[in-house]
Amino acid sequence: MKSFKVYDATELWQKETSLPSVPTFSQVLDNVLGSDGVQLGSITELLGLPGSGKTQLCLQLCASVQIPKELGGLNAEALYIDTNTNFTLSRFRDVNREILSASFLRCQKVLDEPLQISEDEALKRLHYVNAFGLESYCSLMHTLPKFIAEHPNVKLIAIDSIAYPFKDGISTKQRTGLLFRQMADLQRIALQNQIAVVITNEMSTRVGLSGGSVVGALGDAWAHRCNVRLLLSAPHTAQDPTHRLALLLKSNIASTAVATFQITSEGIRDVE
Amino acid sequence: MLDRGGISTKKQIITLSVWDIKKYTNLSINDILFVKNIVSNSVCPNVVTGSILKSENSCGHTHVSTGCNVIDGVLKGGFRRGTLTEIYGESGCGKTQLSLQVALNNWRDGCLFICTEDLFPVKRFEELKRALPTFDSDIDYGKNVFVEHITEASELLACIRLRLPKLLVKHKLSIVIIDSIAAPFRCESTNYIKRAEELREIAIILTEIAQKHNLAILCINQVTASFDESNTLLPSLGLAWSNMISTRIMIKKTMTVIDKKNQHNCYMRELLVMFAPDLSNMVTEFVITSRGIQPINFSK
Repeated sequence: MKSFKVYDATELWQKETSLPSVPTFSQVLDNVLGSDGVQLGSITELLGLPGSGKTQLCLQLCASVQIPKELGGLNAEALYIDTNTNFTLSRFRDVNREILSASFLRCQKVLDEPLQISEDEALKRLHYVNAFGLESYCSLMHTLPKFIAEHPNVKLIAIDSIAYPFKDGISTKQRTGLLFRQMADLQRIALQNQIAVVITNEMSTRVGLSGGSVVGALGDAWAHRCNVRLLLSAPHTAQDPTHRLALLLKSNIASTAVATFQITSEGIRDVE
Repeated sequence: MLDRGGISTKKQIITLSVWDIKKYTNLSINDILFVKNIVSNSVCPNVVTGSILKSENSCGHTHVSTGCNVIDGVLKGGFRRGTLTEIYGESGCGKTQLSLQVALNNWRDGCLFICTEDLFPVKRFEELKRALPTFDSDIDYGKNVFVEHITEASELLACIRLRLPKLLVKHKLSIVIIDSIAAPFRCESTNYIKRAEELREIAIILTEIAQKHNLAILCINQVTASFDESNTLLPSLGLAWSNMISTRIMIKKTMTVIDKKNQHNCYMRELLVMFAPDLSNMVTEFVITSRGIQPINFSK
């Protein structure tokens, strides 16, 4: 007979606060998320119009999960699931190069011994998969537990975007069922292996009753599914086109707040 | 057993839940999981590391050149292969000129030009051809530039679904240009749900082909006035279309006249990167002369 462990709130609190986070490299954004970034074991949904920085944030997280232990990082690997052909290696290398050189300098300062990580080494720790189309995406999700078991050092899974595979060839009713089944599996993987999951979602125009308003794609049922929802937008009024706003729509740990950050050539940064 | 239950495709086996399959076929759960695992493993795409990607990228072409080195510089080599790129702008800003230039520049590698608005400007093509620095009258530049005229959305769908794959079997292409994607969808329906579905289908088929054959897709889009207080021009076709493209570029005609003695009214034009996964929001200027698209510093 298997015995169940009953946790009390104190134990849970200790467990939860000991879980590290993946930093976004914007202090303001980390604060808004309430846990110094994207916490391991959680599922975060990034919403936004095209060009609002969803892919950039995913790439930044994939790079910052690699920060070495000596600098308080996770020294882990990332899995990038590309469903909408938006991944470019050149951009990831831009973002990653900055982290590599920064951590090199910091290591020299803190540890008195340089910690050299070659770019090839860093690139080996990014796992990329192109899952275009519903079939390949679903079969990938089906074989994901096996992949995670083979690569225990993967601590971040980025899915960009969740809506794309479901655009074609599936009825809405089937879609909801399939999505929720996959999300249940994904959540189990995230919790058991302490992996942070980041999912991007598109915005769509609502038709019907409250017609014309712009909401997240995949319907109302989906809106309940993720516990952290972050809406990104590129404000028209900003003087600087690199500025972005992030609004925390839903979270069970932090209150609704807005953060301003910018996308530089090196990745996500605070606004000076 | 599976056939009797009405399940015959890989997709059904993957997407249906264990309980649904059990309901239709009455197989045991272990058998269903076994089938699911086999099918998933055969369809599942490979996971590769960044360093493998790097070595793949370094040997193959990843971009299609525009034929103007300044614009190529902004776009980091041109239009990215395997994805959808959109160029939008007001009428007369130079969208068709740029796409013609791209078509001519890739004459060697093959190009499909789908015209939905007007006839393919053969005269202009000839003119541009003569302006090529490497022009040789013995070479047939139009040999690998395939032109298709289409006016309706259903025809466009049929063309890219049936005729384009057939063409790709016989000829190698490097870029598919649709000038414009908006025209077939603007004239008819006010049924926006249907329109969104058709657009989505076209975009998915195009991206699928682009991924499979490693070619670039360039879609020209028109503009529409926005109804809120700002008097900006927005690309047409709405959010349903915007979600499908990966790079959006705007071309703008400015009122600045670049002085050039033998020519009058040579307006400066701007090319802006609106969004792209790998580019920053940069701007570059160019002019259109009888020789085609030219960077500013050359014409001065």
